[in-house]
Amino acid sequence: MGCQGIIILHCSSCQALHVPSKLVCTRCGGENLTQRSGGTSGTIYSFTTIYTAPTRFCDQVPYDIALVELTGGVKVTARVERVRGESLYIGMPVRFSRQDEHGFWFKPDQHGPNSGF
Amino acid sequence: MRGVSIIGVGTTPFGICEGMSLKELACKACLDALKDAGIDKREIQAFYVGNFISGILVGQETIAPLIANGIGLPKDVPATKVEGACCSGGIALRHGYLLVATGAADFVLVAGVEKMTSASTEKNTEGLASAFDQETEGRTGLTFPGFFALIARRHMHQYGTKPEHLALVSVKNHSNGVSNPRARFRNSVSLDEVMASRIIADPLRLYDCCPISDGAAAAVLCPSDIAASFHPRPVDILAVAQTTGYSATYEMEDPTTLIATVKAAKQAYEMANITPHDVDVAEIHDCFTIAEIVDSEDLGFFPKGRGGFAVEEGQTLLGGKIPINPSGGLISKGHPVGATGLGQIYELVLQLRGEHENQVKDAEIGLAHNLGGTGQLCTVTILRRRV
Repeated sequence: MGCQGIIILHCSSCQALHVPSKLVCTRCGGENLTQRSGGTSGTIYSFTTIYTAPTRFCDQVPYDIALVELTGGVKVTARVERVRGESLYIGMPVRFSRQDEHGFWFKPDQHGPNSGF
Repeated sequence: MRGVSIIGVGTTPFGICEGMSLKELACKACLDALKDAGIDKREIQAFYVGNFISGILVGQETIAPLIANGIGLPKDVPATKVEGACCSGGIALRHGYLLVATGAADFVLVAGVEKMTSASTEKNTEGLASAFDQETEGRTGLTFPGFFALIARRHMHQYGTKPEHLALVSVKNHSNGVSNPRARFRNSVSLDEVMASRIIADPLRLYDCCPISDGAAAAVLCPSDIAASFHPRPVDILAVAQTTGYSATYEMEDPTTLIATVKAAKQAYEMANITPHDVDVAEIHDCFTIAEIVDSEDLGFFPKGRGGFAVEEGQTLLGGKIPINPSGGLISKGHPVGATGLGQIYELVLQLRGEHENQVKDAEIGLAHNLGGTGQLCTVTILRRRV
């Protein structure tokens, strides 16, 4: 995984984009979903910092979670790692960095969003 | 479909019920409801109980027959648990309502229960987070305060809602809880105290969050045409609607609106043939302060984006345009998750009987709004007293 970006499903009937896993398009009901790779950059749609965590995340607090709107419009819920202690804000450009057991990770993108998707 | 009425209600206090097991809490609420209805338990033909995480928190599953046996219901009575996260109680009520409305049963007992305070905060946070889609959002470490924090931040961005608006919801609900003997918190809090409390999930602070609690509540339902022979002031169920929303935040086009609430409210208002302006008192799902603001908009009490300003203007106070959560709500009364939906019904029945400690003058129509998970489930119930 890593640098090729987040796998997104594309509905060939209505052109909707979805986060896996899905067997049908939840917008139009179409069953022809194809994988697209990409989704490396976007902006923060909303964010929070978690201070009180579930048991298995207690050793990680505080940690940042954001709704990231990828270039192309689809949103993902992801972890954000601040590189230099930046303050997060709505509209902040971020770039996909990796995927692990906690899902997708993004970093602030100092170069701003580009057409990575 | 025939009319259905509530002829009896029962509850435990909500809060830290030390020394009382889940079974004892549920049995006490059920027995109180049967006594209030003046009905023999051998008349009950079906039993539903709402519960969310008894397996995770106290290691007890298969609770419906456990409670049915605990209160001595006859062995030919079906006993069924329903689960819909924090909406479990509202769903139990709806199932009982449908059995009576369709004529499948005449007398149905419905209940909700949760035992939470014997487990740690972290264990509760983990149990509650099991309502997330584990494949996508659960694995990130998102919590329910975190989910509502994402909504709060967006609501502030889109509509100019301020942290003070959120805090004022907490101030109001704590103030209402002072006189409610069933509430976990009986103390008032100041705006400064709320704003200075520790951060749980930025921007939500401790006093923006409802407390984990123990508790149970129950109701007895029967056909409306015979209700007055059991209780002098029966409460008629005009509508119970249940809907399904999104199971993940990232799928919501605009997370400042919870679609399950919008759709349940529309269905319920149509069933009851009323508008939001006809509601005299509302008990709504304020699991977090921002939730009460979003709910109040999605239920049609205020235009989208104006919920926070309406709180600031005092419109949701007792005596305001639409009194919201005169019980103290989940924030002050407590949120034993599986019990909450029926706890709201208990409070509204007292209001419509004219017996509530924070009585809304001449209240005739009451609305209960119960929400589960990421707004994945919602019930809206509309009740009316007879005039």
